[in-house]
This record gives sequence, structure tokens and C-alpha cells, in this order.
Amino acid sequence: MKRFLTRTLTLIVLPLASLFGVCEYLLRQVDNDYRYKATWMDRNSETVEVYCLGSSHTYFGFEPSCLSLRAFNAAHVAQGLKYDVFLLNKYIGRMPSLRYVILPMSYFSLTNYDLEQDTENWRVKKYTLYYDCPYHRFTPKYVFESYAFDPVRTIKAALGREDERYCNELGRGSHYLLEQRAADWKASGPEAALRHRRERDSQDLIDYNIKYVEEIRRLCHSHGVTLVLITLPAYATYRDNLDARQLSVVTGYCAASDSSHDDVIYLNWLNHPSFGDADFFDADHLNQYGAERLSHMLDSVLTSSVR
Amino acid sequence: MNYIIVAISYALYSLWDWRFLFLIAFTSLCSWASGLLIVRSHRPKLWLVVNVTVNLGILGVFKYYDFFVRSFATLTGISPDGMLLNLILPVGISFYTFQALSYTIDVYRGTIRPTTDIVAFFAFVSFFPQLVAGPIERASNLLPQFLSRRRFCYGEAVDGMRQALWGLFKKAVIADTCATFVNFVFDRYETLGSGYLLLAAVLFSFQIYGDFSGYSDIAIGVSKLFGIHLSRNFNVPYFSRDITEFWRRWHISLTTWFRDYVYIPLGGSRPVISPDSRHPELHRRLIIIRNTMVIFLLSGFWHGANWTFICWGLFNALLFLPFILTGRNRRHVGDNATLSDLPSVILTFVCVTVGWILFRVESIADFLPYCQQMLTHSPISGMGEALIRADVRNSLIFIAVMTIAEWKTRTCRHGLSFVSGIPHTWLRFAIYYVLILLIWKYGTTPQTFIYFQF
Repeated sequence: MKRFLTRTLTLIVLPLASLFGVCEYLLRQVDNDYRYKATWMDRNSETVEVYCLGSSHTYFGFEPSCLSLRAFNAAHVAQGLKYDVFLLNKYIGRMPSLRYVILPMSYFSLTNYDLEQDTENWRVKKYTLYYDCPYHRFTPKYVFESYAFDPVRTIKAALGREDERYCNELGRGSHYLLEQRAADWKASGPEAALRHRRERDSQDLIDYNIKYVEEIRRLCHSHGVTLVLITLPAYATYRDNLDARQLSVVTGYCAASDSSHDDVIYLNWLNHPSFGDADFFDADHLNQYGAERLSHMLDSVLTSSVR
Repeated sequence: MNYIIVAISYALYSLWDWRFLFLIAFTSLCSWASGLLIVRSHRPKLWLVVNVTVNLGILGVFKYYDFFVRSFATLTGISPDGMLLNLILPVGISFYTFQALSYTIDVYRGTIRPTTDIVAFFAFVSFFPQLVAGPIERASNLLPQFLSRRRFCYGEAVDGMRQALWGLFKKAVIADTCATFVNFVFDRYETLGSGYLLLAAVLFSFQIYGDFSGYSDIAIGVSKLFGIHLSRNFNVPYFSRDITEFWRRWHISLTTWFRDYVYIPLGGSRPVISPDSRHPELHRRLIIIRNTMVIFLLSGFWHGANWTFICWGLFNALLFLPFILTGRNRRHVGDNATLSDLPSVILTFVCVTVGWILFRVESIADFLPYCQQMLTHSPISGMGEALIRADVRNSLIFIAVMTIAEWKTRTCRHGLSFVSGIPHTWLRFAIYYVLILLIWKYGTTPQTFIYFQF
């Protein structure tokens, strides 16, 4: 048995553990959105007046530099309400100048499963590693960059050629460009609408997500911050394929929240006529021009807001 | 050592749900006590019946009660609400129940002697490598190993590690990679082309094989580290030349269980016909048909309380019957396929794959639409599109690797057996590392073992 254990340890376990360690070290050196935004907030959170949360819709669709207030885009692709709450909780105490929190309320926001259940769940580890999120500190899958072996990415990281930061200085995702959109971008609408649809009775899921929105509202309220709920513009091929009932759950909840709380504003710009073909990257994401248009419009609302 | 095995087994099982430890303990205790009572009391049959009733009763309540209520409600049109138990199905219940049953039946038959060593018996029922998905061990093979002193054997341990590595490769790389595409297609088959559906059916055949035989290889391999030898559960079933050979090579521990405890007691393929029978040949054939139907339907039902499994059993029975009625069911016993057998191997694979569609669809109502959609258009419709997908390409490459390895080692006990014949250490380790790196790369989004639900 001694021979078996010695050989297993020296010829299998130690080399693999070393390889794992090297991969982990190399991948942790790679710059990415999460590291950048966490570092940015550590350095500049005191100056932030508008803090934008949310998923890819705001990640690509909100350009902080277009606001007259000092804003930062803290959204990440597939970031659900659970992680919105986490980020707000983590930073709200460090943002003394904060006046507005922007929270996108998309068609799927109240019927979304947690990120852990999503195909994008590889992103969970980014919150653990770069935001020091405590949710999964002891789950290897959500702690190690090299949990899944990726030789190409690791070699590129070793050569210093891997850069996974896609956001600009103020956090907006800057790679959904009009010039690079697919020729058949309009066709993404029905598929995205279907992907965002919940077939089964989802009341439990709705209640679960509302709980997070309410937590965000309470946090904002307790810090004297106005919560801006916004449904971002989408192209007709996406809008026309939405389930009316599922959509009304979101818009109805937001409208009710707006009317019952003085410090909540709801902007339903899903069908806003100002947005045309040139503003979209695909059927449910704005490109750089759409993001600028939306942010200017939002600036007008925030600066004229008397509430 | 047996104390440690029981402790590890119970600890691991409790990670899933500790409440069901009581169920395994109860099943073990009942079967152990029944074994002793069968030998020591004057009414052995009574204790056998009691034990079989208790074990099958537990299985029935947890696994089949709601199915019967729902089916009854559908037939009569009444609402099942209020009658359903909605119990969680304990992981591996079908496996350990059958294992425990085999002990009491064998004791009753006098094949084995009952044990007084309760710890060894608990270890036999709950042995962790095979607790949740088999192989379903016979007491005559496994229990004596727990009763005797075991010695660590270097060669066995190394071979066990190889087999476990091969099993992990089949599960984590092949089955889980196939699962991504298979789940995608079966969730929306109405909207996809024939090529997609055809490819998904083929990949599901390899998914279920990789998943289940992979688990068996891991269980058998890990057991060797403890000096325990489990039975072989798969013997390259997709190289079978007809359906009867397939069923001698697929889930061997279950098929032999049904053969020994159901099929042969019913008369098997050589039933004794009363001399008074006016049509003895017809009578004999009818009994064979009944017996074949019974074991296949039971086998389907064992997999789960769903009409899809029952119809899958029926489908296999219908494939099986022509062979057994014409006496051609044992043409391929004791030898292996060669390249000249390729046409019959492919034909058998096609038949089995059709059966797997029945096994995989959500409900029985989806089977015909799936087949219709698959056969309506040209098989190449959508095939090119599907082949562009990385998961499909990777699946096909890994399946090719597995098929070549298993073809080369089809007379051996597992797909990595050939490694022991390689004289260069560096080459052996290179093979291990390639497999480990593939598992590390592709096996990090694990799917639950399909057979855990049974």
C-alpha cells in the first residue's frame, strides 16, 4: 500500500496540484470587468452619485459619461437581482454622494432564476474572487478560476495576451458596436424572447425576485437614495414575441412601486419611439449609440426630477 | 474495516438526505433478521414472504404509489389531489432493495447460509461505491468478501484506479458532453430538423451508456482499492450482434437478477408442460411469451413509474421474442463480435437506439411525434447545422475514442486494460494525464447520473 500511495502522490497528485496552482495563478493575473469594477469602486465610490446595477441590458445600454451627475455602471452580463443586492449592500455605505440607483426591470427580471442555475454560472466565481462575495466561499466551482481546465486561455494568460476586460472606464460594456452587429440581428428577437420566457407557473419565482427588489428599495430608502426602475428599449422583433402576461407582471409591479413610494421612479421605455434600427446591437441590446441616447434621456429625467 | 465501510457509506448517503439512512438501516435490519429467521424458525416461507413484502412495500410506496394513483385517476376521471403522497424518491432505493432481496431469497433457497455478522451485512447492503447505482450484487458474491479478511493488492489497486479513471472519462467527458446536445434537442424537438433528432437519438445511446457503465466502472474500480471485487455490469453492449446478446451485455446485474429470481422460477425458456396438454408446443410457446413479457415489463417498471419505461420494456420484449421463439437466442454466447459482424452490430444498435428514444422522451405521447419528426425529412436536414456545434463535434470525437478503445479491449474487463501491456511508464502516464486533463476540461459541469433516479 505504501508503494501505491507514494506513486499515486508523486506521479499523479503532486504534478496535477502543481499544474492547477500554476493555472490558477496565471488566470488570476488576467484583467477582467469584475476586477476592474471592484478596484474602481474601492478607489472612487465616494464620488458616485448614480449607481447602475443590472444585467447585460444596462451593461451595454447605460453610458455613465453621458450623465451630468457622476455615474458608474456596475452591471455585468447575467447579473441577476441576487447579485444586485449583494453589490448595493457592499457599496452603499461607501457612497456618501449617492443620489440615484438605477435598476433595470427587464421582461425576465421577476422570473429569472439565480445566476447559479443559469448557463452563465461560471460568472459566480468572479463575485467570490473579485468582490469577495461570501455566498460560495467553500464551493470549489465558485472559487477557482481554473476549476475547468482551459489550456488555450491559460497559455494566452501566460504569454500576457489574455485580456477579459470589455468595459470602458465607467463600466459600460463597449464591445456591442453598431459596426460589428450581425447582418440578421433582427432575427435574434424571437429566440431571445423565447429564452426569457417562463412556461410554467412562476409565482414562487416572482415572489422570490420581488423580495430582492424590495430589499434594494429598502436599502435605497434607508440611505435617502431614489431608486430608478427602468425597462430598456427593445426592438420590435423582441417586443412582439413577449408574453403579455409575463411582461405585465414586471410593468405592473414597477408601476405600483412608483405610485406607492415617493422615492421610486419607473420608466417604461420598452416601446420608446426615439430608438430606431441604428440604436440596437441585437433585438434586446442597445449598441453604443443607443446607450448614449438612453443615457442622455435618463440624464434629463434625473436632472429634472423634483422628487 | 467493515465498521469503517458502513460509516463512510452512511456518511456519504447522508450528504444527500440523512433521513433516508433510517430506510437503508431498516431494510438491512429486516433482511438480516429474515435471513436468520428463515433458517432458525419452522416457517421459513413465512419469513421470506414477510421480508419480500416489506422490501417491495417500501419500494412500492416510495416509487410507485403516486404513479398508480395518477393512472387510476386518469382512468376513472377522478381528481388525484389529496391521495398523492408526493414523496421524495430515495436515491438508489431500487438497487439496494434488490440487493437485500437477493440475500433472503438465496438463504431461503439454501444457496447461501445466513450471516450473524450484522456489521458485515450492513456493509454488504450499503457499500458506498455501488450503493446508489449498482451493480446489484448477489450476497453469494459480495457478502463472503465482507466476512473474510481482505488484503491490499498493488496490482489490483492500480487496475482499479485505471478502471475508475476510464469510468470517469465515460461519465464526465462522453455522457455529460452528449447530455448538453441531447437535452437541447429533446426539450424542443418539434422545432428542429430530422438531422438534429437523429443525432440526438444516437448521442443519447452513448450518453446513457457512458453515464451508467461509467458509474459501474468507477464503482468496480474504487471497490478494488478496498480489496472488494464487484461483478461486471457492462460488457461492451454496443458490439452485440443481436438483441439477446445485447441483454446479456447490458446492465448484467439487473438482467441476471430478473433471470434468476423471476424468469427461471416462471419456467424460463424451457417450461415444464403438463403431459395432459392437448397442444404442448403452443402451450410452451405461450408460456415463453408470457415469461419474456413479464421480465421485460418488470425491468421497464423497475426503472421508474412512468409509461415510457414500461413501453421501453415492451418494445425490447417484442424485439427479443422472435429470437427466443425460434431458439436463436444463444447464437452469440461466449464469443465477441469481429469486423465481419459489423452489419448485425449496426442493426442491433439501431434497434436499441429506437428503444432509447422511448426511454428518454418526457412522456409516451412524445414518442411518435419525435419519430415522425425524425423520419419526415431527409436525415441530412439540419445535420450540417448540428455538426457545427462544439458539443456535438466533441461528443463524436470522444465517442470515436471510446469505441476504438473498447473494441480493442472487448475481451478485457475495461477500456483501459490495454495500458497494463504498455512497457513504457512514461507512455502509460501520458495516457492517464490526457484522460485526467480531458475530465478536468470537460467534466466540470456535471450532470446527475441518470440511474440515480432509479
